[in-house]
Amino acid sequence: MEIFDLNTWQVILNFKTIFLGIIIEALPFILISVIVSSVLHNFVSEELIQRVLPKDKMASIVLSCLLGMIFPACDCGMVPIVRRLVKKGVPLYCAVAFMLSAPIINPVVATATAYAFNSIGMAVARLGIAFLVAYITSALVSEAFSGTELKGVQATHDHGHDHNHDHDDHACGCGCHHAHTEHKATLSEKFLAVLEGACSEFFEMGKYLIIGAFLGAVAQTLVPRATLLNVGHEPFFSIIVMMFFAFSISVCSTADAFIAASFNTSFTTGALVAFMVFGPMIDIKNILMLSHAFRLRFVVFLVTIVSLLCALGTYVFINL
Amino acid sequence: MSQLNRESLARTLILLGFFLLLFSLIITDQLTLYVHPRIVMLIEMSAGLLFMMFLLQGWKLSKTWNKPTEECKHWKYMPFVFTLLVALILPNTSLNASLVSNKGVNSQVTTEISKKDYRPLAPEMRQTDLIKVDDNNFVDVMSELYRYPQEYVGKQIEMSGFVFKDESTPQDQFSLIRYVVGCCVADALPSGPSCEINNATEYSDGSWYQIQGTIENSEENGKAVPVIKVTWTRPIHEKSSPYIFR
Repeated sequence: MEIFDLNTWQVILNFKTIFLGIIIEALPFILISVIVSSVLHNFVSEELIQRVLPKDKMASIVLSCLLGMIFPACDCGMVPIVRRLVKKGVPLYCAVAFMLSAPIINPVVATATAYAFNSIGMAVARLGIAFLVAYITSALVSEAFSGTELKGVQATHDHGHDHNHDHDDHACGCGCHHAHTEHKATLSEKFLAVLEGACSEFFEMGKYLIIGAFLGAVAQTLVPRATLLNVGHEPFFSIIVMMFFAFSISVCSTADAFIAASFNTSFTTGALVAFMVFGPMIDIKNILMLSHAFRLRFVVFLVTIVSLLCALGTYVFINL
Repeated sequence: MSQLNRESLARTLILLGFFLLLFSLIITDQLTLYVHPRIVMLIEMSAGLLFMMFLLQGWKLSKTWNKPTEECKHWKYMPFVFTLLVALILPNTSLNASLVSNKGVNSQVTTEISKKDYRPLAPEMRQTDLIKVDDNNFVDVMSELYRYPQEYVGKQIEMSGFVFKDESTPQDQFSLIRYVVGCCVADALPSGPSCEINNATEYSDGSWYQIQGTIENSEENGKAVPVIKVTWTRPIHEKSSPYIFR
């Protein structure tokens, strides 16, 4: 009886370490992302975005897929930014392309992957397949959905602050040049508005980070690896199991390269690549945040397409 | 008694709580129990940001102290409160031995992983008779031992770690483990060699030792693996920073 208690206590302690570890690690990125989202809301106008995006649909999708190279993002912080972009007039399919690709197609993750596997080939495979999945999903989204698919009118409910900043007519008294933005009274007021918006969004999105971290920590402490290893060598089933594993443990796209590498001898290469592509795109945290921000049919569509493409893509590519 | 603006109060307190959590971890140098040293700076900036958010929220609260919110949706703050409670109630510890069987020992160090011949420590290790393992060279030394065990047979080795045994461990053996962290504590992987000693049963799981021994060759599942024939052990206190960070 006593030994049982000690072991349970140890498991609980491990749970706490992993649970808090995930949250503390992700905290800076969530904060950065709600601030970026708030800054976008307060400083960037729809016109600017229209001007910057290429007119051709294919080109804009490709650009969105590659944007992660200059704006690397952790997948924990994607949804607030993506929602803000769509609200600002970025076409849904571009936002989707960015959301799926930015956590993977960036220099940080590429380096981490190459380092974890000691192989540039793995990094190339991961980024290449991620690009394909993001591109095709985005193209399909552009055909299937014409609207923003945002959930309801959230302006007054969840955000405490949502003033309409469009085209204020007050002259800018401070003399600074905001060429593309609306004029507001003072810079400090804008600063406060950004902070306030970030605050609200932090509380809105943060709870999903915590739930995701909770489930991830549970999966890590309670699920024995032995059960995973039974299917490791099956060519197709291993991919499915790894994707499911990626979905349930909530770690960011740099860390999952090392976790994947730890399965190197027990799982097929395809499964590992699928793990590293699917995890940053769709996991518990993301799904919770997405269903909060977007309509259910869109989320279901997205998850289904990404899952299929990921599974098939890695299977075909690896077995070529 | 007029209604309190509970929502604003809740937010203020939660922000304060998170700030204090980070602050206390930073002050007591326990942050590396949870995160990689290289993002400590980022965490410190986040703490500063949280403090500013707390000030803002507190200022808003002071202005709307008695204005009740339309709908008190308390449930959405539960996860935050839960996190703070977990942080407060349970002590800060490092990952212990019970997680090792979940994660699998040495699952990262294999011959298949590296295609390139990355052996920075090989010349040094070949020359010396006593290989002293510390936090900085742990990963490379283990990598060498597991990939080319035959090259180091007969050499002396000195290292520390915690003891781990499971059902498959022979009676006269235990593993001496360190958790290796690549990026986040969530991905920590246990790594370490098998050690052979007559009274292995006297060594309890999770206890920390410094050992010295001779490297020998052994076989496991058809692969050559190193085993340390222990000549000397000394119990030690768990280090304040027990993880090996890559």
